[in-house]
Amino acid sequence: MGKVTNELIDHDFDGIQEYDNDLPGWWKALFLITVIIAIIYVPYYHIFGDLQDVEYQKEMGTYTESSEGRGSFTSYSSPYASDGEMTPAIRAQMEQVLDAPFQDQLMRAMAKADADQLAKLEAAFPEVYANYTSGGVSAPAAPAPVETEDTSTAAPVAAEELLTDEASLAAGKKVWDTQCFTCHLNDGGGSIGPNMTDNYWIHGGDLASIINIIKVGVPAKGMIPWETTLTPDQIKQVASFIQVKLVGTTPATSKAPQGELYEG
Amino acid sequence: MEMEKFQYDNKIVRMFFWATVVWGVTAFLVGLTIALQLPAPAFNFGTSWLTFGRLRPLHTNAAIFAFVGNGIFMGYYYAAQRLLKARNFSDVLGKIHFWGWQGIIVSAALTLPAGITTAKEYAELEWPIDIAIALIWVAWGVNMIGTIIQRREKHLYVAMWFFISTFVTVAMLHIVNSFEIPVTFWKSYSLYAGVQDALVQWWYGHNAVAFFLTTPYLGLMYYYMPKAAQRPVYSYRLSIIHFWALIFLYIWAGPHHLLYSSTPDWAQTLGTVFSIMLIAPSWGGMLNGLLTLRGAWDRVRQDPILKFFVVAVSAYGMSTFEGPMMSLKNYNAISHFTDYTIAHVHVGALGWNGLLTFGMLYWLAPRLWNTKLFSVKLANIHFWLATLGLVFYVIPMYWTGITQALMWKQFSPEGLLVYPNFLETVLELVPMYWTRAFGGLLYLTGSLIMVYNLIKTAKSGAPTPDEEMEAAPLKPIVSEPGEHKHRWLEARPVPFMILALVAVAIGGLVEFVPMFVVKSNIPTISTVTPYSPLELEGRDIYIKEGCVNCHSQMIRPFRSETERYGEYSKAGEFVYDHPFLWGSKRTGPDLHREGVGKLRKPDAWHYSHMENPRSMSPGSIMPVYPWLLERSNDYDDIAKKIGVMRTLGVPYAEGYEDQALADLKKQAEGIVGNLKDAGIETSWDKEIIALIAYLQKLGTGILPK
Repeated sequence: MGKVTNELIDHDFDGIQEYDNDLPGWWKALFLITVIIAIIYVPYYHIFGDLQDVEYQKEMGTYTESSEGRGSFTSYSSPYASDGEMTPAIRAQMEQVLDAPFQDQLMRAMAKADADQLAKLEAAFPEVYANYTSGGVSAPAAPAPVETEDTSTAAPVAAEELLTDEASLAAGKKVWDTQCFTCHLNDGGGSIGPNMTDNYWIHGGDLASIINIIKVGVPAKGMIPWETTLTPDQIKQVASFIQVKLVGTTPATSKAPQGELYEG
Repeated sequence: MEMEKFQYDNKIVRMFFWATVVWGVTAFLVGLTIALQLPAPAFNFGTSWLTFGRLRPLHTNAAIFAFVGNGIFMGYYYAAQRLLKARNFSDVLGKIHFWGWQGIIVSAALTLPAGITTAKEYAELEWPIDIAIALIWVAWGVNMIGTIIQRREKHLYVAMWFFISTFVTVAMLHIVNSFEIPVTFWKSYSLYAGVQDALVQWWYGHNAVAFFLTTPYLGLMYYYMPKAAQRPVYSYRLSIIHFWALIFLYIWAGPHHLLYSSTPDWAQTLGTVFSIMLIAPSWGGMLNGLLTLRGAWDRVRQDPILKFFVVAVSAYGMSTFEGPMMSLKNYNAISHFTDYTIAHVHVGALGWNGLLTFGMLYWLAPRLWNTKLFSVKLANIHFWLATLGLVFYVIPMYWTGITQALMWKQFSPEGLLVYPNFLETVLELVPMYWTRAFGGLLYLTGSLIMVYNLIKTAKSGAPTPDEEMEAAPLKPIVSEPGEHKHRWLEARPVPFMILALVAVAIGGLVEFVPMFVVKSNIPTISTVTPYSPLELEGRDIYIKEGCVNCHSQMIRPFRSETERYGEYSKAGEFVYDHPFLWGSKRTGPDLHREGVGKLRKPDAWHYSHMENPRSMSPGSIMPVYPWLLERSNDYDDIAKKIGVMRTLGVPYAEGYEDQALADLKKQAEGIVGNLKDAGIETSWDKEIIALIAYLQKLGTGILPK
């Protein structure tokens, strides 16, 4: 405590009097400490520490020295951004995801782009652009029909072994009942998503194709890519559940067949 | 010396007294209703007017501006006359102030449930009401300044300092934040966009807490606490230091509401460091309140008024310590967007503002009706119900906040989110939502007991006539030799007011000027395009339905958020957002990437989901919106809207107004076609179509669909 004299100031307001007591010592110390912390805080983050974009890059494991010191959020630019610059860290991050389907999507974007956008895309993805101009995965000569944006599904996938044990099928049913049913209904009859009981398939009815579709999805039509949400085991379990437990059953309401009959 | 005779006006105090009581109960009742809607959406009774998104702003506005606002004016009109030894400057102005303020509240109660809103938190009221607020606020200010000029007391007491700073600062905050361009009588667009709008809004929002819920109530505490305790104020010097430190530092802290958002780091840092420095000045007020009770603690046991005051000031101390803690980035990363914030603000609102108001009401009632309080026992029961209600409210909310934040962030050993389905993290909280509603019920019950007690008290007496007073007129103000500098200032209200305005203007200026002038603060992204006419209309429906009250549009740069929602939000993506819709609470998931990547859903999904969210997400606590599927909109205003947006800097081509409706219809027909493919028959002019268009646009600025 500061000096507590309890001396009254020679004055009153509507009967209210005030002591002339000193400020409590611990209060003054507290104020001083918070000011010191505030002063230290600024260089702690802005000079010695990580600002939020660097902090994020480190969390994602994409941080490199050269991406530092570019200020808030400038280290990121959209692939289409006007200033077109991309830091090595973001570049590396993009390359990680530049697997075939994504490259393919990029080339489709190039096919649709106007000259201005195409130039930006070329600057951002030179390798993909080279691939594109040399008639890569999807040749630009034939404008890609929008409805077949899922060529990734045609990519050959190693044969998968059907799970038939009850434990696996039960696990698959659990995934179905918590995730899939919102669009395909509990009994697989289909509503927003296609019917899963009729053995007609838009993207192929073999187990490998089903697994692949669950993994990468059909974003244009609303099928979610599940590989970031479900483990590989779960995906296999639910795909097996579909083939063993749903196909061939009679749902309460069934959506009209789409795609081709699978006769595997 | 010749004495002057004058009277104190007690009538105006009684008017605000009942307004405080009535609006207090209303605010608690609306709060309880929306608290029940979270675990049980059926409590909106299937009407658009009572959905959570529309009632939540009504609850916050009623609590802040109706309940606390009238409490301020009640306490002020009683205290200021006596502290200044003068009747109010103008009785007519007082009446205009009273009825104007009640009119504003009634118009808020009618427009907010009707979906007329600007979507900016605690500033939701549309532009005609904004103008009315400014006028009525100035009426109060003129009445205050006039009374100060006619005072018979040379120096201004500390309570008056707080009232003066409240008047000038709230006027500044309200006017700057309300700049908007009208489209129609009930629709306007904010002058600012995106990051800038967010910065201005939270400069306002944070300081609405500071200068509407804090400084005027500190002023009231400095009058009613020593009055009720009949003890001198502990330290005059502490009053001086904590007053100036508080008003100067508070104004800077707004950006702490935007930590880890797309706001530039330097602004966030200012928000954090000024929040830390606020601990001691805030506690200065608590200390001066609690230490004033030295020698009177035995009376706290018996006197319910002092009990209310002690718990109120303690709640103030707790929430002003917690606020700076929540401003630390690592703490905020957990607390933000969760119920933790809801708990924090209710310690302040139910504890500090509520209990201090109850104490004042109990203290004033016998004096305004020249009688004794009807029942001290009932007042004690009210005290315990209110305190227990507070505890039952905040503990479950802290619990749910931390629980949900940890669930959002938990990864499995395989590197996947353990709770990828947002809904799982919500359903975990439902039991706690019931407990919170129970706390609210206790608090409301206590206040109803108070209403009974106050009515009985008023009936047992008769309105106290205006007291006859006698005092010497003020001598010309001259400096006295050896006078303390602050003593000098206290005798000169005009320099005092100017100095207070300077103190509160600095923080805002330092933050706004660079944000508006330096372009690199918001790097442009060329692929970010303005909203199409249909998307713009959909956005207005999103605003109207109050979606922003439960859904954020701000993905923070955390792995746990980018895994769940997609690429984190960039400043350049919001440049056409008048107003910004980042939100402050995630009762539902973030929607900023709703139209891209793995979150993108077919049009039919949105259609079915709005009709009944539980058909797509069983167990969801989102309300149903069947009226969106039925209501048609002729989009008469689209040309005007495009014009206003262009005025605000959105690059629509000259003359685009003429083509807007045709474009709108074309895009709508596309969605109608998609829905038809999924077996849904509807027409282009339904509101749902525009909303779907807007949702599908979200997040597409930097990523291909």
